[in-house]
Amino acid sequence: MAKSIERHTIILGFCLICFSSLIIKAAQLQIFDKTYAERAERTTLDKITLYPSRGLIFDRNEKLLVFNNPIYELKAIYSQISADIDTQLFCTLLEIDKETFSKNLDKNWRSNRYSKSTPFVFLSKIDPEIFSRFQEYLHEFQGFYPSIRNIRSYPHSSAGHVLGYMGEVDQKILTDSSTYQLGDYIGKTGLEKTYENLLRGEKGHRFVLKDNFGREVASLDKGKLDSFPTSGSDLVSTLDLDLQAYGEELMQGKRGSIIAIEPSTGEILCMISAPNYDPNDLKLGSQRGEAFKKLYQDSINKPFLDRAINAKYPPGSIFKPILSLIAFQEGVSYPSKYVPCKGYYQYKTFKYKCHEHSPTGNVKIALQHSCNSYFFSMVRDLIEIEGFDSPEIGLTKLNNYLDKFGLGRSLGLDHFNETKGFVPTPAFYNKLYDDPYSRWKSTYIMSIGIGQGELELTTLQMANLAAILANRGHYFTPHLIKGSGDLSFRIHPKYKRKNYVGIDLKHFEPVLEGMRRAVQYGTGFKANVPGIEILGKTGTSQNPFGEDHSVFFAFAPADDPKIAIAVYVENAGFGGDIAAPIAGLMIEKYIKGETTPFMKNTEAFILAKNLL
Amino acid sequence: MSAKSKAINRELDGITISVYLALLLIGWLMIAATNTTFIDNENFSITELLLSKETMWFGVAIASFFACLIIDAKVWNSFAWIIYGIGIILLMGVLIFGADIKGARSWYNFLGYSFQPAEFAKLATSLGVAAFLSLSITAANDLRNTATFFGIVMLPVFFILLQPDAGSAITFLSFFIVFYRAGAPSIYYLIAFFMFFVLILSLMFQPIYVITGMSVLALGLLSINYKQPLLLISFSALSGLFALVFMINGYILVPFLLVLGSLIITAFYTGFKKKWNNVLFIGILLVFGSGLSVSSSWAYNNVLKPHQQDRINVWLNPEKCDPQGSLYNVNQSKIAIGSGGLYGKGFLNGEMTKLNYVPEQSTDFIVSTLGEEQGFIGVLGVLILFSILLIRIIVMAERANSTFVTYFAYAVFGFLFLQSFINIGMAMGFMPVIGIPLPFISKGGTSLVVVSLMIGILVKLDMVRRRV
Repeated sequence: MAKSIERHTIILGFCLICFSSLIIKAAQLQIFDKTYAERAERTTLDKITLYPSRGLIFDRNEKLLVFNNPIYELKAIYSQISADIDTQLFCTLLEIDKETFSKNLDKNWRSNRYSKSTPFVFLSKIDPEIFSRFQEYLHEFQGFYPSIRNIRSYPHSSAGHVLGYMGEVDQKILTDSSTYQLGDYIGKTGLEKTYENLLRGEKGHRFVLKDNFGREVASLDKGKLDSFPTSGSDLVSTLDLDLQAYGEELMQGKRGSIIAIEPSTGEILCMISAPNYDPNDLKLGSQRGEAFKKLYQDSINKPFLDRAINAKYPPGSIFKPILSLIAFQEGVSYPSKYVPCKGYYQYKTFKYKCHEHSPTGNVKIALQHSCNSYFFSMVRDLIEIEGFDSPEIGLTKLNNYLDKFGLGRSLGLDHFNETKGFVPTPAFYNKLYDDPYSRWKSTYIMSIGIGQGELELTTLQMANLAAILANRGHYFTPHLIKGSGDLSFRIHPKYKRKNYVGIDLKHFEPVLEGMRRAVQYGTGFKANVPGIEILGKTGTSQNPFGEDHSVFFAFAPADDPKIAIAVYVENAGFGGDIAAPIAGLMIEKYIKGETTPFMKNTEAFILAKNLL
Repeated sequence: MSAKSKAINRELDGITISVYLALLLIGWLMIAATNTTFIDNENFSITELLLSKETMWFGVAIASFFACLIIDAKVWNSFAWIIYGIGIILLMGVLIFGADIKGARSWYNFLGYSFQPAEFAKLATSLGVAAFLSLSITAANDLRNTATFFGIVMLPVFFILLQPDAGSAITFLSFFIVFYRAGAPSIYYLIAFFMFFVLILSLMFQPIYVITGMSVLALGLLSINYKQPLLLISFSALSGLFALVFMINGYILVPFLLVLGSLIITAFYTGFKKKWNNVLFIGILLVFGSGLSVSSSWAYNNVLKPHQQDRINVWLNPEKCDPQGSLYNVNQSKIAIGSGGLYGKGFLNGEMTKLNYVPEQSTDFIVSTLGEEQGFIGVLGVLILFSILLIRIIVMAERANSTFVTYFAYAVFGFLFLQSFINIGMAMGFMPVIGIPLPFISKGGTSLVVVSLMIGILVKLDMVRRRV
């Protein structure tokens, strides 16, 4: 009997050891190893992103600049696709061949990227027409699911640089921000980038439970955690689409830029950079990569370079009115001052060229004929304000004014990557003329007085100078967006603020008179438009590498300025020849809304001009 | 309350009945949980559950249990052979009249209800075996009786394998527990366990590694011939360590030859100096073990078809398996159980099981539902309930004053233990995947009624003992 007792103990002991090992195994699975719980969540729970529609952009006249176009994708869940679907019909409807069909279905199921029970993109970027035809038969093809995403589209082909383009979000942003997921689209340039936060909207999410076939069974917790997407805010741009398109047309075959500003608000009416590109070419779609590459590789025309804000040029003679204002304000010159000009300006044995013109008895005539000697003299007077040997004091004074005029710094445009331009400082010249025995003097640098030399401006700054002249002493920071569909949106207060340049009103009258004469009878006569009083100034920016650049800036009408404009055309020669007529045509188009017969010849001449 | 019923109540084993009812209730709720395919608890209909087939079987099971308490206890011993005969006839009949489901004839189908004779055969064979072993002429270590014993067990197994239903057949291995209790020599069991582990290790590792390991063990075993065995034990331990270091570095032949060489020298030395008997015994064991190791490895590679190899790999070498293929069921079951955590997701809230991620979850993988919804606490609870039940069965077996009752109790013990251990272990990837239901809990009416009968008969037999 003793042996029997031993045996039942052994049996029971063996049984309990076995059960204990089960308990240990269960504890390992359920308590210590957390990977199983995570895997369960991954298999059963699906977070579906609901994409918001991006805000639209309108022009100042409520014309659509940017809208959203749906693109269709067909997603498939391999395990749900029935073997006996009508492949022939399927392929005919989608206009694909059978090889594509089998190739698109044949994924690497062993890799982690694909699973037979989770959806993958079977066919992307399907034409809406093809898709709508296919959709009628969708119920016959189990396992295929349509998916829609919006892409940016444009009902015109203008303003590519201003609007900017979209692209897939890059790795850096993905790591920095939790807002974006891989594959999301984000504004890469232009307004799309600047106003990304407003335009983007909020993504929504839906949590669904999937069964073993990957089918949606129910929403999690009755949708308590779900959120709807919030559409992005619509934006109202300051651009005038018609003017923008017209300017782009005029700039065909040329390199350069046009910017027009409404002086009373700082709103940019048009911002053209040529050569440009059609924003539709960079639409997210199958042909985008090719178009992007072509534009990117065009190293001669550099269509991606926004010449309106990312290029800087010597302003040429359009700087003369600004210099005059500063000189008057500082009292180093006066409007009726007479400066003789013999066709050149002489300093010691050096002769600086001017051109043939009637005697410059005062500043008005000097501006009318753009006399170089007059302004060499004026800039020297200003720089030598504390004596010939302390030019840095005079230059600093000048620079303080230029800073108020918005030169040598970013103006604060609501567009990314605005170039500062360049205003040479005493420190700059100290370095440039680094000679302990002979320091630099006003005569070294006086070419800045006629807008040459080291001084460089962006076209935006030039247009803003025109606006300052139009406003007689102040400007509003130029901007591209004036409002939003989102009622809580307020444009930045800096765009509502008057920026005074520190010039008394009385000094403007003679300068503006000079500009009036320049257009009426002087160098800018080709900008003249009947019925509109345009005040402007030509510039010819010397270019040591080739033909001079043609510059013109103006505003109109004289007494109640509606438009201030700067036109810069590279390698177009004398400022009065190309830039001035373009400005005239733009002003007429904006103010009258059309090109009158009188200007048709000018228009034809400009359109025919090819400088590329 | 009548005097009679009062007497019965006092003498029944209350713990067994409580545990039995608890397990039955858990089973009923788990089946209800797997039947609910909707994730929202609101769609869970209590009326639908109450009218379901499972509830009907639940009722039948409880009725059978209480019927056993009423039926005269003498019936079972007296009619044991008749019941055994009916069991065999039903097994033969199902091969002809049974419904063909997935290529197997395991079920009788009538009026929409199905009946599994293999389950009934478990009860019938238990009664048969108990009746045979309780005969006064029987002694387990007699060769003729041993053969008869195996005959009684193998007859139903033979018919079950014809269905074919390997899972049910394997559960009949539980009669080895009865046989052991009846006095079968322990050494057979030790050898069987030894061979079993050699087999498993040979399927996991190359035979040469297994043989090297066995040689190290044999070297250690030789030490029992010496008064001071420490030297030999430390020598074998050192050589084992040495072999292991070599093996990890990929050199197996050198340690194999060294270990074998030292084993042979030690063996001959021990043989001449002491006794040959022990040396021979260890030698034979080693030779058979090596033979088994080599032949099982060879059979695995050359006889087994890929899908059969997969079965083994799922259990022993899961890293070799395709997670989307052969490993899928076990993997999904493990994920479901693992996702339950300590406390579980709550009744009817198990997403993995609700959404049909786990195949066969109402039968073979019922533990995945339990694990996911009730967590570790639930699994632990069920294991404890089973343990209490098994302990009570042994208590009843040992206090019985009839060997028939003792052996019948051990047969019941064997079935309950083996089935619960394999089934729960299988769901956790701890045991090979064998289609065996979890007693009381898995879906399946016949199994439920048969285990109820088993417990019912046992409790009644135990009650009768007290009255005597």
